[in-house]
Amino acid sequence: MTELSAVIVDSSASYCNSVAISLKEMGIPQDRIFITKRYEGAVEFINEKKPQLLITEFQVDGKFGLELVNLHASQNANNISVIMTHNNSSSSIAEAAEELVDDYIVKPFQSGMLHQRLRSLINKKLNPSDYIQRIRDGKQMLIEGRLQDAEHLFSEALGKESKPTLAHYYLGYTKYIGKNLSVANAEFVKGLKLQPLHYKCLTGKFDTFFEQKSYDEAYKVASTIIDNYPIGPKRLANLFISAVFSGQLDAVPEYFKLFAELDHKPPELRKVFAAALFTAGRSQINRQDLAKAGECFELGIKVIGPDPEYLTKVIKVLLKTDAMGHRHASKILQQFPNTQIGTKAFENLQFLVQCKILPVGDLIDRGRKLAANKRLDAESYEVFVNILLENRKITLAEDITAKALKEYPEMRDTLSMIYEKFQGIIS
Amino acid sequence: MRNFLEIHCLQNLMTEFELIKNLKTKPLEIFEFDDRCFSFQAPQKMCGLGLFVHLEGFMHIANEKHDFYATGKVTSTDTLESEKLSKYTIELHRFDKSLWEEFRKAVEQTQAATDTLFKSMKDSE
Repeated sequence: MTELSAVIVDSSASYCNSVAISLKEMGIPQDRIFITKRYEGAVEFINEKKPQLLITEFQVDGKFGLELVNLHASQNANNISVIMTHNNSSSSIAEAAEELVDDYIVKPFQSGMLHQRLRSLINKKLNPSDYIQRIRDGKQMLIEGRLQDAEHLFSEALGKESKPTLAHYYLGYTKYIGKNLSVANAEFVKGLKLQPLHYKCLTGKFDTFFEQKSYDEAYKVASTIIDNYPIGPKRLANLFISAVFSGQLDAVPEYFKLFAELDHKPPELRKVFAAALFTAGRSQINRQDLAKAGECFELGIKVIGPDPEYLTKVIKVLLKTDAMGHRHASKILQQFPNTQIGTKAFENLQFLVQCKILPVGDLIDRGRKLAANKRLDAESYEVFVNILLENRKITLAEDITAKALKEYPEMRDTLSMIYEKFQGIIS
Repeated sequence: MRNFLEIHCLQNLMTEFELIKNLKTKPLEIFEFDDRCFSFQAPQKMCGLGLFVHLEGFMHIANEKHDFYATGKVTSTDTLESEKLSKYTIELHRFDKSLWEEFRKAVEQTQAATDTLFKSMKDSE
């Protein structure tokens, strides 16, 4: 133990102190224990001193302790990482279990418990069985990028345990990294024969199908995972993608509950889920179910927030429907952030919605005003000219067309086609 | 489903003077406990060893909030390194023992449930 060094990352001096006392009682010298409440300080210490032991809060300085765990684990497979936190939500525990965390301790704790757990964890790490030692050595080879050596060690581990599920998992994982996906899958299947709900083998199988773009299969495995385990943000994003590509669009909105339960919602996950909900909404429009489409889009907005790009996409899709899409569009328009109101982009979107709602007279007044102030974009000009011609306002249409061509000369062909469409009516 | 005890009033039992002001807005939170003791961090020299105290707070057990009143004695104070804080331990004398036991069990069960989930997903070593 005297050889070990440790870093403790926690905003509470008391918790740091408790951990430090426990470590000292185990024989780790004071000068080999570094305490910090800062994320950056911890990163610096891990990079420079390469401690074997990391004990960190789930969140540090608004950043994630799991990122420290990843950095720490990437240095050596024998390193020990512990999360010590008030946060005991299933999604956070799942997220930690997905990473290379060795123990998850919930605050507050009973006196003596911390000491006992740390001691047992360190003893287990320092005195592994033959089986675990080979797995760990293999993991170290993976860190160093030596896939063949890793495979050799994991194969050796197979003979050291009656149910070597973890060895099958790591053999599969090694093949997965080497892009030998069918062999990878075969190893995960072997592991699952030994333990049908083995989490790592299930996720390995899911990742392999996902990588192979076998989205139907990936989705089936994902359903088994969801039925039995909480799911972390990383895998949830791939689940959404597999649901969309396997055509399970009806299921997408149902995953909102899983998403809402996550403590940590990375921006990438928000983007992927919002995009999946958008696709699900569009599919409902194709089925003429505008109410369900509206629900999908509303959920999408909840997921990504009032993002002008997303709101614009949704409104434009809704305006293309023959049914009452403009009502939903009008509601969504009200969700634009105040900072966007009055911008040219917003005014055009508003105008497109008004084109479906306002009486022709009011709409013409509005369109003329925007055109006079050069506030119309190409799409709005196109829609406006169409409406004017439909309503036989030929002179005004020509005036607006002239303005459009002055501002957007590239619209000549588009506008000319509109005139061709109405030729019989206006000549 | 967090379990925690927060103290929003800590007084000298004899004088009834508050040992720390404004605890209602920034309550103390305990970080370690056993059958009849608990520890928390507070400013240094808040009180001396052996002082009898009265405390009031809320005990949060699995989303339920319970009033918690107790008297006790400060049995240890340890200065925390590089901080203007100390770790204080209070031994409880008069307190709701069944509530305390409920809290202890809830903390234990939460850790046990966490371990079950964590180990089932990890299947590590």
